[in-house]
Amino acid sequence: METADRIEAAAARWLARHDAGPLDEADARAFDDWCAGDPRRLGAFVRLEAVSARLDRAGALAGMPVQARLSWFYPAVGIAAALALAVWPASYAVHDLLKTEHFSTDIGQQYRAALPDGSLVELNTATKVAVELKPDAREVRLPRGEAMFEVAHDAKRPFVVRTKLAEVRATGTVFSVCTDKGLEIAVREGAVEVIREGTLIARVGAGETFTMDKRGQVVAHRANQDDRIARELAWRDGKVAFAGETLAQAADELNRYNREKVEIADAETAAIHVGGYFRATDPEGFARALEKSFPVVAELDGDKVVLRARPSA
Amino acid sequence: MSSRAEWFAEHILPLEPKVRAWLRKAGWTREEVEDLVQETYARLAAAWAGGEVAHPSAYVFATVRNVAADQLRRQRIVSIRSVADISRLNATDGGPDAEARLTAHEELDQLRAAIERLPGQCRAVFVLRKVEGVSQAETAERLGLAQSTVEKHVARGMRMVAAWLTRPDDEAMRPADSSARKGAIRGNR
Repeated sequence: METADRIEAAAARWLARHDAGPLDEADARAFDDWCAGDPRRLGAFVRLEAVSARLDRAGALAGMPVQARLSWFYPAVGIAAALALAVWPASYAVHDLLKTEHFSTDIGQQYRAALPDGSLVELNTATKVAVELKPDAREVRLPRGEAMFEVAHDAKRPFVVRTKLAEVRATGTVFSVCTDKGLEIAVREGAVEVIREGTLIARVGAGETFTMDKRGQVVAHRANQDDRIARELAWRDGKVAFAGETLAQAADELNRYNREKVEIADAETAAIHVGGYFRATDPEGFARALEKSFPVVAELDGDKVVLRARPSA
Repeated sequence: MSSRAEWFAEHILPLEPKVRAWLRKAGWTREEVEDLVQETYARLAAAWAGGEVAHPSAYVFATVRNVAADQLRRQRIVSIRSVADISRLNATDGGPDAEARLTAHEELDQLRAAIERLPGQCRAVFVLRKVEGVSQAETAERLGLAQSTVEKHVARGMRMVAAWLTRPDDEAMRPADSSARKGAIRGNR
């Protein structure tokens, strides 16, 4: 039997060939024949293909202008390569500039995508995002849900997130926008501008949050919210975090992520304050954890979990 | 929207170290683990239909378990220990999917470490091809190498990066850092 090592070596050669450009007809046939010889061959190829795709994100994730990125890798790169890079700065390919990319997630799903300009977008549960990179602007529409953006710095091409209520404009920063209850903006690094019907209505800096209600009224603009922002971004790790919210609020939050809903049966239970990190997609686990710390019982009822006050003995 | 490669990069590759550790713990030899990993990727690729999978971790571990069980059946030598261990390979042991997710910074650090570990010329090829995103042909031109040489570096480097990402504890796969760096300077003068 062909060893895994030999298969991997051959798979690597095929991957390098694919990486060089589209295969010609003869090569494509040879590749198919090779794959057909043993199922593990395609497995080895797909695995290396995934490694290659992961590496492609290195450039995108760095999200820095070429010169800065170069200095990062500089000690690792030969001098000739460094000089070559200095002479040929990277430019955006035309097709990257003109196409609109659509991303969406269903309830309970999350998705992360690197954009061709080096920015990163992460979609939370039940979210829709459309991205259009133009020569003079990077435009993102967020018709539904919540997303976090790590924007590659580019002063000449502002990064604008359009929501129903307002536009959020950045040049290079890390922030999240949630449209589930009006508009909530949380800025982790840098600053963004909130623009409504062409008028600048707020500048939101690092560690600040900004909230509008569903009708577009500004309800809060708070500074020093780093802890809260960190909690709100717990969804990126598949978790939700609470720090003293009522169980009613916590259930609402958890229900954004799941078809299996958490229901609260009585006012006493709804008023309990909860804290801690919970897996976003595990309503039962959440209910069981509460049973351990509070006088409540959880019952599974079809596609919901009902929490009620534990009858006193 | 995501291609097969992106989907595997995002959801499957990060789980591979855990899958390997698991199979080793269940008593499979190093060589057998390599076979099983390739077989698992093959099955996942055959089943991949372009869509999202709700719980990739559970899905991957279920597939691994099936692959391992089939392998045992093929061997027809069913040791009691293996059977017991296979049935213990419970999908939930894989932990929450969230654990496999890296933050952008962690991911970047990991990729940077992988590229930095490559030997000299190979590393220069990877920086141009993967970090700067220029084509193989242009990489060859800039570095003054034959295109076939660049292709060989891509093939070799990809295996080394794969090893670093999926079995970082494997000493045999790590090039000695100091010699790699010396090679870089020589290779580019």
